[in-house]
Amino acid sequence: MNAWNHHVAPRRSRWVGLLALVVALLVLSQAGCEKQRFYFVVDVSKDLVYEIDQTGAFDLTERVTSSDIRSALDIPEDAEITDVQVKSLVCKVYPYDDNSAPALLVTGRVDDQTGPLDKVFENETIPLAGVDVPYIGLNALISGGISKIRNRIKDYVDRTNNADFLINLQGNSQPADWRIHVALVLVIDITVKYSECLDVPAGFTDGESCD
Amino acid sequence: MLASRVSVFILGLLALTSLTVAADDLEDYVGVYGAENGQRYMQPLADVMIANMNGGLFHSAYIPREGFHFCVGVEGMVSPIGDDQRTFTATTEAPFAPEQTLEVPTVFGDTQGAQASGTGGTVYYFPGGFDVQQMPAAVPQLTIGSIYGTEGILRFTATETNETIGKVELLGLGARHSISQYFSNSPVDLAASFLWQSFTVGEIVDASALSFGVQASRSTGILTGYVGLAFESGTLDLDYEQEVAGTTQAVSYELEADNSVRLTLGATLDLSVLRLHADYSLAAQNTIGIGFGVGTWPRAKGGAQ
Repeated sequence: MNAWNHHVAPRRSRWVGLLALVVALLVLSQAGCEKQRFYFVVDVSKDLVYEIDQTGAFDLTERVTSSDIRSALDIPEDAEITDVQVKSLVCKVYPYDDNSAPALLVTGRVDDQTGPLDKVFENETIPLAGVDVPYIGLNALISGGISKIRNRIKDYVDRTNNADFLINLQGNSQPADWRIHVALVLVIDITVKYSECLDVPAGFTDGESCD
Repeated sequence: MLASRVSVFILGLLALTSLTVAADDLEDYVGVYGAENGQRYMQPLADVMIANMNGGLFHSAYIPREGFHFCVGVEGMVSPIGDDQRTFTATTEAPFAPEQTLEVPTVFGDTQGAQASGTGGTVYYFPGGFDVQQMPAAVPQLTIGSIYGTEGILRFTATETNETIGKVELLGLGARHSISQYFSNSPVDLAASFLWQSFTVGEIVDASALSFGVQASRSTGILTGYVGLAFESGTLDLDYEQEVAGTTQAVSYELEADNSVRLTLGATLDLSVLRLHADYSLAAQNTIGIGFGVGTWPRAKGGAQ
């Protein structure tokens, strides 16, 4: 078939075409958006740095403040917090040249102004020599202490209680009474789940309605 | 800390809605995942987005050998989301312990996500999705011709969104060439095509798609029926940051779209200055196409067009 000739549309057909275009544009303009609720998960971490420079047993405390957590938390102002949880606790160790202890035996405890509260972990062995990993997981965590940390941080996020809390580390070298000179960083990984209403194209998603 | 979630959730139906949606809130959804979970979480988006991008290329196989014609329009595509695209098997990531494996939402899955309980009452949250039933996309398209039975295709849109996302830009270049001009007795019009496209969303998303195909069409009055077979590919590169044990890590991976062959069946209604069309593409990721264009274009004298 060789049909390269143009066909001139009649005037009536043009009016039908323009009318159809107007209708199509009107339909598009009415498609619109609707607000639906979606849930987001954001991780926040808090580093507590303990400088241990002594021989034998140590007992050190670091403070966590509400501003520490809030300043690290980047969520929209209109977000609704739905949950706060502790995801993990890890240690990072940075031994100095004059450290001779091959490992530490450490117990962690959460305290507040009223005194000691709960243990977070107990007698965890933290190697200092031959460590070639970015962090050391603390996998024998104690639910009472984790729950206290979680509740305090949730209070900060919810702005219901701004009182500081403390994380205390006690321990010794392993074997005991060796020279320890190390920076030990305790990292608390926190997950904040929040929801927010967003504009989405109508009819394509099944999120909860915000209306 | 991951980038703040900034809401320009929809950039309007004049951009590739699917990717704009994803990129906007991408880091707050996928940012808790490393590469392995992240790829599985985002793979359905790559499949759907590339399928949508490669749609709407043609509405007829008729291309005149000579003479000026053009068509400016909007190509809309919708991909239905299957149940198998709504969940994937994810594994908790260290340092959370003990390691656990769960069936959790993809980016198209349930909004609520899932959670795993760990040692000492720790909790690992798997993010939810957008609960998407069908994914729309729309792109502006200009077709202009003809020289020796060849027409060019341009898709372009560029928008500055905000500081977090940056510039959203789509560029598509393609061409179609009449095959039937070489066969004087062909009962249908035939054409061959290619289309290359690039879609970027700031420095977060970088997608590209390529399609080669052949089309046939035949018309009766103002109605044209068309069919097309295309071989296509596409990739979606994602870059974001993940925080692991207090350290920010760059996560980067490339997702390859599932579609490789597409069969398209459709019809065009030619109303003088307005052309409306609708089609259905059968492929690993099926898509529905609907669009309109205004302009001037030639018609065959009957029979094939």
